[in-house]
Amino acid sequence: MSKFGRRFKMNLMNHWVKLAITLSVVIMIGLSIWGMASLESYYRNITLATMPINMLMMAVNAVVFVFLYTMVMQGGFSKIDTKSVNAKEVNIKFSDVVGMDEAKEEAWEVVQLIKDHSKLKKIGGKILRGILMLGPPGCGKTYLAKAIATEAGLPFLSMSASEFVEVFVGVGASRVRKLFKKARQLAYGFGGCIIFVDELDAVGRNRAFNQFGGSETNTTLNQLLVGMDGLDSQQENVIVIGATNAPEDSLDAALLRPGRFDRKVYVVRPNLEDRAKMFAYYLEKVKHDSSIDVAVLARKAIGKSPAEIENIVKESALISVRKGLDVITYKEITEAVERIELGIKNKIKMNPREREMVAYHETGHLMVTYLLHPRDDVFKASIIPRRSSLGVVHPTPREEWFVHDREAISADIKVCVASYVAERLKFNTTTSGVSADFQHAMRIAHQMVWKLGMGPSGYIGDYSSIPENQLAETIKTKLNDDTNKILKDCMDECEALLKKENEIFERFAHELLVKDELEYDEIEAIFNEYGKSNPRIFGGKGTSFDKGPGTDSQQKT
Amino acid sequence: MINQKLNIAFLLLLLSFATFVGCGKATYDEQNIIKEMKKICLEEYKVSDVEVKIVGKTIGVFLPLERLFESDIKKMILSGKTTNLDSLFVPLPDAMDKLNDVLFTTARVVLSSDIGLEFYQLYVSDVESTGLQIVLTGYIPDLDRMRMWDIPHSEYRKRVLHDLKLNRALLWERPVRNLFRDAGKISSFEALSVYFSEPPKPLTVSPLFYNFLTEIQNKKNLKIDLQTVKGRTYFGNQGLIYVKLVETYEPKDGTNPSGISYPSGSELEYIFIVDMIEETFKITQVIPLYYLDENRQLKKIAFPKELDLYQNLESWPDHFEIEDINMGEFIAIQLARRMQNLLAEDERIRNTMTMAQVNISYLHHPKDIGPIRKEPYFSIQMDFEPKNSGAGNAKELPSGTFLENEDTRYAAALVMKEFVDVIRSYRFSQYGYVEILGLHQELSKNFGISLENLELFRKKQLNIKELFEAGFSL
Repeated sequence: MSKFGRRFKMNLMNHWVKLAITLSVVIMIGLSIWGMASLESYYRNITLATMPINMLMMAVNAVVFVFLYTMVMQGGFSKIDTKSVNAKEVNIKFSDVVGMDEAKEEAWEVVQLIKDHSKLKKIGGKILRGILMLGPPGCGKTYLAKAIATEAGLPFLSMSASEFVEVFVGVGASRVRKLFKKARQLAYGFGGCIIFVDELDAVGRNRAFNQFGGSETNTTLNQLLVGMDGLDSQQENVIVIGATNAPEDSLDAALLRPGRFDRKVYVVRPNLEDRAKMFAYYLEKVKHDSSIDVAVLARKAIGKSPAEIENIVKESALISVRKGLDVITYKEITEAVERIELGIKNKIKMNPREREMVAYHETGHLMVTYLLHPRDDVFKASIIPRRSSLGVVHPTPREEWFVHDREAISADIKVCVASYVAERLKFNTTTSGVSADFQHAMRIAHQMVWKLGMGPSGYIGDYSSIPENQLAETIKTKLNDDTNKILKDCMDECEALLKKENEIFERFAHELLVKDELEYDEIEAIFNEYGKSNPRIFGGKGTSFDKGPGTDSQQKT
Repeated sequence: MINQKLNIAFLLLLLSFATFVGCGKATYDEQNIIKEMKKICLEEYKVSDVEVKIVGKTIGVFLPLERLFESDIKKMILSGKTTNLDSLFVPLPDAMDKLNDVLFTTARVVLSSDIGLEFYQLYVSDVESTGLQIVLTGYIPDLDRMRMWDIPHSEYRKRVLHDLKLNRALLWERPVRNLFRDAGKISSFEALSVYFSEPPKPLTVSPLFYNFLTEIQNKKNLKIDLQTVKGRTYFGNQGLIYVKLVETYEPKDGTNPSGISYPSGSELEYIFIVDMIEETFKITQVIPLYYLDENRQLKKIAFPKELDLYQNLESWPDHFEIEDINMGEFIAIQLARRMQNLLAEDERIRNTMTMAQVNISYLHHPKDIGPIRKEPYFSIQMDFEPKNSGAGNAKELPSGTFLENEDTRYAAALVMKEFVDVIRSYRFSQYGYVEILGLHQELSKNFGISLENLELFRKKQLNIKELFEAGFSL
């Protein structure tokens, strides 16, 4: 059958109900005309005159019927709102996908496999069934899926997995069936079809095989598995692209086995180069100062996802408009980053004593970060309240690190406890503002000793993997002593530093009390004034170490 | 976008449907209405011999039935057992069915016509034994309003005028019509014995008609088209029936055409004298209006001029005559009957009046005698005689007594309320005032009521006393 013929047949299969209804309506209207014409004029006129009210009554009846049917029979719930899109309408090419070269490479291969499915079938290869995109949110999984659809030139059915989930058992499975049916029809006409299921973890989590397990989710997932397997012997070229931010191991094993999601594409946060490209890409879309160096911006946005980068540019555009500027400058982008990172300034009014204590607290963080941290620069210091904090020192790593060494981790602890030391040195007392700092410092120190073998007593290994009741009390005591020692050592070091550099310490506190905020350049200038050069530029060092979770570099009071 | 297009397409489809259907002309027009009506009666309801006439805005339908009433009226009356005359005039179920069928056909046709008919008259006639006719007269828009539930059936029934009439010409026509109907189907001998009072002789039935009777056996495919049948009273039970006909036939095989008196397709005219003999109507004499000359050519008989026969014939009534009905007169008759029923059914009036009669007419002034009297008017004659009046007639009551008597006032109010309600219901405005007769002892001072005051009375802003007191002298 020709391509046209197949499409015609597909449309016929797809819309036969509509066609049948239209044909019936036309026939009925024709018969009505014939019937009415054969009536005597009086009856004809009566019928015509009463037609509007009859139609109104019919419409009311229909509405009531549909309402009752939906409410009582629940027949309407299995309807799915699948967005069926033609590849041409999606129109996102691989060239439009900025960065993520490895993911693109993987995806490109997939596109080739989809396109050459007939060749693949000829040599006996199995058609690709599914691609699973894994990665943090906002990294472009959906965007990449659309690019795959465009490049493959196939219809694209997009649906969120949460749309399958319904209170009523069986509705989700019914929706999955309908989705696959529609996809197969499109595949028949267009030679293939891509189903994109976003947030796959909503139905794809490990199934619970007990009486309390969500049987509806299980049924939906089972149907999805069956749909992907193509057990109904229809070997149409239907590819399922799933996307999730959930960890891979939280998904059901059956989903991940070959024959379902054969390929896994990891879409990770962009690296420095990709971030620079993304800044350039998004800045292209807005009017901006041509002197903006995207490389600098990329360095500022370490760990940011493409969505976050886009948000920074959008926010800077808003700030520019508010300021009445024609173009976005570096300053607005910086403000946007600050607003996103630190939050909006709030109007809490601190008393002078409080304000002074916060200034010294933050100065402690600032001094130790600048002088002792091997990787982080101080991007900004502020004693203006934001979100829940009264002040903030915002550090930024100079470059991207995927592992953290002992020095860097220790420096993190030092930065945390520096606020306590600073308060004690200056006021001979401490505040509740150190609570979050101590929590953070303690956690890091605990991990160093218990998990990373960095304790001073030489206990090596991950003691947290052993159930606590199997650990000897002596070991636990030793380990806890080590944790304490690390904290104490860090504190001593901070104290020595702040005493030694008391002049600078007082100067920064004073500057903060006067200016409220200090920018990177101002901070750098003051240190330079006292003959202190940036140790990360003039003597950085580092070793390999895996950064543990929760090591937030931001220090807030 | 697709939905919008579909909606537009659907609307266009509906519009074209309405245009297709709604822009068609009326089903029955002036040319075909009579023919179609007869056709519907015959084909759909198997009712034959229906005649239809249109005069002005009135359509008349004639339905002849061999038997209309359940009882044999003549026998019942002669038996002396009948105490209630109304019980004699109960139509047969079969007659009732035919009546309803023809009435329904009439309604269908007039409502689907565009010739502006306003009234219908249905004559259901007993043509075999009594010559009685039930005549129903109705206003066509009432049919529409009844079907559209604008007026209830009970109200519609009140609006139709029911009359019983006697048309003896129908009885005299029967033997003549039946004779020509059966000619060719029964033998000449049978025809003579059934339809004639005695075996006819050439002298009594005329040589021409005698030839017709005797030559029937030589003709095949005989068809007699009765073009005109008229009748009138002669003496006593005798009637004269004038017939104009066209006779077509073919000579039977073996018959010499020259042996037949006149050729096929000849137009003939006769006057038949019909008499009641032993309770049946029979032809006693036939007077031809043609004769055969010595060349066997049909020639018209020259009657003496002083007879003015042909002129007279034109004035003879048709067995089915209708007149264009006037709306005002129709309402007046209807009102008179409604009021009479109202008074008869009202318990208070029955208890308090020895006589309560109302008559109403719709009249035209012969000449203009004042600005208010240019238009036609309704004249209501009220004759009320309260039981406690002590006199034979309200006219004899002292001046002003009529309006002082509560019962009379009540009866008059009942009558006037019915009048204003019915008139308003018809939205009839072709009258200038209402004349009230017979109320006041000084009858020479009959008075008129203006339309404005009638409207105030209808709105209950005037009571009956105030209404009458506001009357103007005539």
